[in-house]
Amino acid sequence: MVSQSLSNQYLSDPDVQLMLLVKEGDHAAFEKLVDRFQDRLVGFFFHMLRDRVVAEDLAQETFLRVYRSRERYEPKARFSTWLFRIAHNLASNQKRGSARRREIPLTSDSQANEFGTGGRIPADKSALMPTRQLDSSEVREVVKDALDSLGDRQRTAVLLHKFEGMSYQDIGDVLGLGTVAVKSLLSRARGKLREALERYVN
Amino acid sequence: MSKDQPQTTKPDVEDELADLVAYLDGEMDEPSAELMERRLTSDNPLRQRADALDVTWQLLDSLEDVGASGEFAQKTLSSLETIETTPDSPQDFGTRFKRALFQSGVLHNAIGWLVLAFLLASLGLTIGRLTARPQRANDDVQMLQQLPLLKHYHQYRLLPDADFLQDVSLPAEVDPGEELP
Repeated sequence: MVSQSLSNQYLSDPDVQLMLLVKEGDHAAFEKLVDRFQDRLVGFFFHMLRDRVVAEDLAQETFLRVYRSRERYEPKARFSTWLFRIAHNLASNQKRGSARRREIPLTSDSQANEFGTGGRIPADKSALMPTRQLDSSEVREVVKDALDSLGDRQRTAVLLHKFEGMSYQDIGDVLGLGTVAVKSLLSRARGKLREALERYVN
Repeated sequence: MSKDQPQTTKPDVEDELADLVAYLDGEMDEPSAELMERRLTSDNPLRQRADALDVTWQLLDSLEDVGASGEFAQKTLSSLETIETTPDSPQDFGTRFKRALFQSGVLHNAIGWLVLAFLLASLGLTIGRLTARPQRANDDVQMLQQLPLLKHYHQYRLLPDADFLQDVSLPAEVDPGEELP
């Protein structure tokens, strides 16, 4: 009875319904899923990896993996939870691969941007003039740096909670953690963000 | 800080932060949330911490809103055709092979033959055992009949042959009047 109520809960998810149609061979249903999640996935990967080209590649790979597994799909979670679990794993693998390949940059930051390592305005630069109001682009760079300072799981938790509105339970399903662990993860992440950004807050 | 005041340990600070964040995230149960609200109204440092957490959290909205490019969907859907037409990948081949085997009924037939072979083998073994029992019984009877021979085998083995045994067993023809040497 419990498992039946759980599966009923997920069946009410419209994205799960679409995926079940994809399982039956409905191509149009898959197009709808792509349309619904493409921006969210690309945005997620971009904020995780700060490279737009890689973000689109990984978003596409996520969709392909969903499509390949359509025949054995079973709704055991919300569709978005499953989708972002795949996305998180891909992002983590990409970061691990990039870390192994990373070389010491010999060029300036502007040239480093070309290779997708992200432009960085050192926080110290702004710290020299703490009373100066930062413009929006500088704020954005500072926030990006603060987000970069987080660990992979912390960053995923922050992005999913902030931009996907996921609950601790859903985030736990994505990361394979319990709600208590997610609570701890997010509190540390937000503590770090506060420490990094507080000086820029009036 | 006086000696009487308990020092705030790091786990306490972390627990308080976690509770505060859970409250701000709306992840607290009703009674705990009410308790936190009461604390926030009377605890200024705590309220300042909550405000700082909230404001820095809102700063995340300054991150650029990045979406998929115009041709993303078309590229993604086009790549699906590659999946459909590409020969089976090594990873998928095993799955597809098993499915085809199952669906074609070959597997069913093979299982059926295996079961039949097992039954026949069992039947053969059972028949073999049943027919072997009388032979064993006959062997036992024969052995019992030859038991005296077996008991004195160590004496009989000294005899040259069976004829000698027979000669010894026959009474000797002796003249009562003849003196023995």
